[in-house]
Amino acid sequence: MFGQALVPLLLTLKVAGFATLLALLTGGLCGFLLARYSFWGRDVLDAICTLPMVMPPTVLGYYLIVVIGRRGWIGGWLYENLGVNLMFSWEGAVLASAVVAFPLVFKSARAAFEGVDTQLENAARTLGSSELRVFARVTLPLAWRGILAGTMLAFARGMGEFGATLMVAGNIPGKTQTLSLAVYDAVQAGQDDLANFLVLVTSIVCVLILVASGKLFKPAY
Amino acid sequence: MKVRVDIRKTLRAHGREFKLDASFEAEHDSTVVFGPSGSGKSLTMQCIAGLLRPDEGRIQIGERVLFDSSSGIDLRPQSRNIGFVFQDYALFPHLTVEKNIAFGLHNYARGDSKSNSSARVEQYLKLFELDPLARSYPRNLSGGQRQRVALARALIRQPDLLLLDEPLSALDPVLRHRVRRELADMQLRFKVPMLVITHDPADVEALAENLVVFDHGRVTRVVNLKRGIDGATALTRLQVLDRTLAELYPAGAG
Repeated sequence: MFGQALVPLLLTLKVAGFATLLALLTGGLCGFLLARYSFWGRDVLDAICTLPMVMPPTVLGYYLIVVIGRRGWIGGWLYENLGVNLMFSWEGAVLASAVVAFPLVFKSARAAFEGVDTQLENAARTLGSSELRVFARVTLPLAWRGILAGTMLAFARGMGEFGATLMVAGNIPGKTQTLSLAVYDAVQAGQDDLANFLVLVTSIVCVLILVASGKLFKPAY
Repeated sequence: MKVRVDIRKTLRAHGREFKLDASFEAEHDSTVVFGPSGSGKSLTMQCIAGLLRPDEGRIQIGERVLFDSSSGIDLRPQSRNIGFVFQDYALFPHLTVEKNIAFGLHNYARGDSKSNSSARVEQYLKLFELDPLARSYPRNLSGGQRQRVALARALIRQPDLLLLDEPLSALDPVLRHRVRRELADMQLRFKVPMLVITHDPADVEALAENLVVFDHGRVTRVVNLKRGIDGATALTRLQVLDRTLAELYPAGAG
């Protein structure tokens, strides 16, 4: 049973880890842009970036198939030119999880960057700091905790991802079967012991993450 | 050092328009910029520091031209060498007092050795009686201590001009009185030209050699208090102040 749980657990951690990294980079960047720059269509872009949070994961999965499927806009190009097929692979699962987790990073990052007093950045400028140094020494250190808290939520969300992953990556044991999919299989197959164990493992990991991120959400200064 | 400002800027926000048209020269080292809130004092300071770009005009300190729209000069705030003490001091909350003070030294003292700049930080900590607080964070400081950190942080870069935006307004009245004296002392000690924004007449009395009066986005009066108005009648500061206040707030208007 332990071995049966270990394979999906490791795969889940791998998928959620890479998905979180992807969500952190894209969500952090979008959060920064929307917090600091005012441009035409900003509100619409904000809504689109938040959409994955409210849409059914199966709908997101379907969108992903349209985009990265073998005949999709990007997937078709990837397959023809590089021979890469993201469908039914763990990389596809990463992408699905990243899309679902993206809004959590994006929302926290935007709020965190907006929470940094622009007067502090101006103070750094009058003290001779280049724009890069202002970002590295003032903006990022002050926004960092909020972004990290959102990132941890994103990781927890990525761990529990089910719908979009199933649509894109399927449910292949040892290849794309993550914890939540394994739980579903175990319940369907009547393997109650395995299901209990998997549920317990998932719950513990998620509780730990939430406790840690809750600590980070509290302001330090 | 002579400060010459002649700028125009139109700001629009929430359907309202504010026109700044500020023009003055300050030739003494201690200039007080006085006027009601919302009269354009802070905006002018931000333009001098390079944090806000005027639509047109010219800003010059001594021989250095910081901004000139007609010849396309617009120095970045980083290279203006102007110290700015913000109204709420804008101390970096995530850095200790020591690191706050050292913040501007990093790229100022290029070629300067590390030990040299940390010696400077030591020296400024002592000068401003902050050495016992070197490792404290700004949230644990009193208002007066915060202001001393902000001053030390700006002065350690040896700026050509020090801008202070209502430096005393965040302090309680007793402390305000003391810090006002300290400011005057500091100005004498560091011999740095300073421009102080205030709407407190007591600051004018204590600090002003030059008085620049703002009202509704315009400079309505520039008084050289060392020489007296027009050089003809040597008025006391109090008299000048009385006249200015009477002009800004006509009897019966309030």
